[in-house]
Amino acid sequence: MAASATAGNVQVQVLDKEGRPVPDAVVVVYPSAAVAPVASNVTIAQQRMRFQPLVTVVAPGSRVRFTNLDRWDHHIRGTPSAGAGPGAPAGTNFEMRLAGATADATGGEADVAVHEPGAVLLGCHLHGSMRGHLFVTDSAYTLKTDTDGIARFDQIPEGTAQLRVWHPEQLVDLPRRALQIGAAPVLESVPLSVVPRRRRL
Amino acid sequence: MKNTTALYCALLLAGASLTGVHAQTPAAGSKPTVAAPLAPADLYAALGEKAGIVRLVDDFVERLVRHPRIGSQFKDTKPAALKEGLVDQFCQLSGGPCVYEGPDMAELHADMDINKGDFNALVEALQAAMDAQGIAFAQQNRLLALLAPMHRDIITVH
Repeated sequence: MAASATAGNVQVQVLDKEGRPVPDAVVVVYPSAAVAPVASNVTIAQQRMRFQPLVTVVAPGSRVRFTNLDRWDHHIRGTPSAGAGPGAPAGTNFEMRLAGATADATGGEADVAVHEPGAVLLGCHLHGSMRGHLFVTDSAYTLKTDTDGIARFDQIPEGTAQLRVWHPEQLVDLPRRALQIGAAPVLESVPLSVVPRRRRL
Repeated sequence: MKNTTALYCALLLAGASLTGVHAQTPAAGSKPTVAAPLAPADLYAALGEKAGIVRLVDDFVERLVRHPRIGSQFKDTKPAALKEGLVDQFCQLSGGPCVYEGPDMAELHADMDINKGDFNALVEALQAAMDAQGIAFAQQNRLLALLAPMHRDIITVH
């Protein structure tokens, strides 16, 4: 019987320690033949005291633009993420002050180039409670979980693969799982060992 | 005991003041927590005007960042930035010629997990700072009365 040559489907749901879905977790699949992610240009806005989006996934070589949409200044910093994993990409400790927006114009903008995989914690010197995350991935198959805690992949090559789940509050790295991807959909459920705090407003 | 009494005084006064805001404001105000029209006459002068408020806020923020209970809330914030915002806010609230242009109190505190005990600890630190600046007790209460309604936007953990 000929094996199907079509790509398999992989659906991963990330749950917290109490079994509830976790949005904004990063799910990375590494097929046996690695596929490098493609660099892109993305924008992370500072809006209503939040980084929007909260978690941004990019490839090495990407340009990340920070744009302040609030009426007041932000002083953005990027530092190595406290989360488990390969640590911060080299050269991505950065900080820049972005002027507030006015009635006539958006606020300050600044670009950061990322070169190596890793996780960067985003913060603000002026507003210590602001948190965001920049995840520089090393696999083309990387997604954030949606509000149901689910990441849906539809183009992962058949064969063996490794599954990694990253979340900023999961400080102890979860062991990677081995997946066998074939014609039938692969459904995985991955529990964190923590209950991430819930955001208000 | 004095501190506790002052806080309850402030909260009582605040209730009265807040009712006043709603009565005076016809349209939905975008920033009910920074209500300049409430400023009592000469509170700004009683605080020593801008220079006095700067001294007060300097001392207040130093007490906050060193505070055993709530100091950690400020560990990722530059004290200078915090001072700048508080000076503008206190100056405007007390009737001074300043405009606070920072985030509103709800946005600013949404992710800080502040409970009533934390809020009270901050009020006590402010009272201690006002004592240290020699601000009269009656004037302290007037400033606290302006600030106390903000607890609705700041306390998110009950």
